Amino acid sequence: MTNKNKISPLDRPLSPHLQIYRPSFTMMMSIMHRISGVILYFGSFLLLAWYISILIGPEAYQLLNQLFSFSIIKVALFLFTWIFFHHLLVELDILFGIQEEDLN
Amino acid sequence: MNNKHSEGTHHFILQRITAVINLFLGVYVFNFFIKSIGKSYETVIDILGNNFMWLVITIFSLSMCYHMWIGFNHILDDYVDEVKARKVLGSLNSFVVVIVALATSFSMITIGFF
Repeated sequence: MTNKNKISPLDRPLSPHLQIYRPSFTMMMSIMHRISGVILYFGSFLLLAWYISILIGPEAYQLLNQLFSFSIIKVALFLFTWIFFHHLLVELDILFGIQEEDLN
Repeated sequence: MNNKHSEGTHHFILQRITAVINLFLGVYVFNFFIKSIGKSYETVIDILGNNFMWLVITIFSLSMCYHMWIGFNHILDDYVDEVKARKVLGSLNSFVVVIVALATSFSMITIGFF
């Protein structure tokens, strides 16, 4: 544990705990955005595996293709796509959506 | 993220710029990835080599990796309050992102040129 009397620049204060806020739609979207980001972070390894299998050759590519043809993997790929578009649409809302100053 | 206090705005802007790049290229690459499942090796290699798809994927991957790096560091900043753990996880994050970026660029450029 760090000594609380000596505050280094890296010891920033923590925000209040999540549970004290009443959940709202915007807040849930923000949380989902973050969770989907983490899932996509790990999902990117799937894309990387696919690129590398193409680099290695037809055998590796066929092996990965067979893996993708299992129905449980297909469900995972579907969810991966869903999460990708969720992340994308929330980002669209952040970039081009109605801002607070537009309402005034 | 690190000791510098002046990088927040810089990262905020770059996160938005890479988001816009990923918006267009990401949909394109994702569409290609999902549609290629079940197709033969020759078809995929043909699309990658002849339509500059390898270049699109390289640009997308670099942009995605930078987006990933900022995003994950942001999450570490918010939820990991132990300084040492944050630094270790931050280094791990940088390592993973660099590996993903290098591996993708290497494989795509190799496929594109040879």
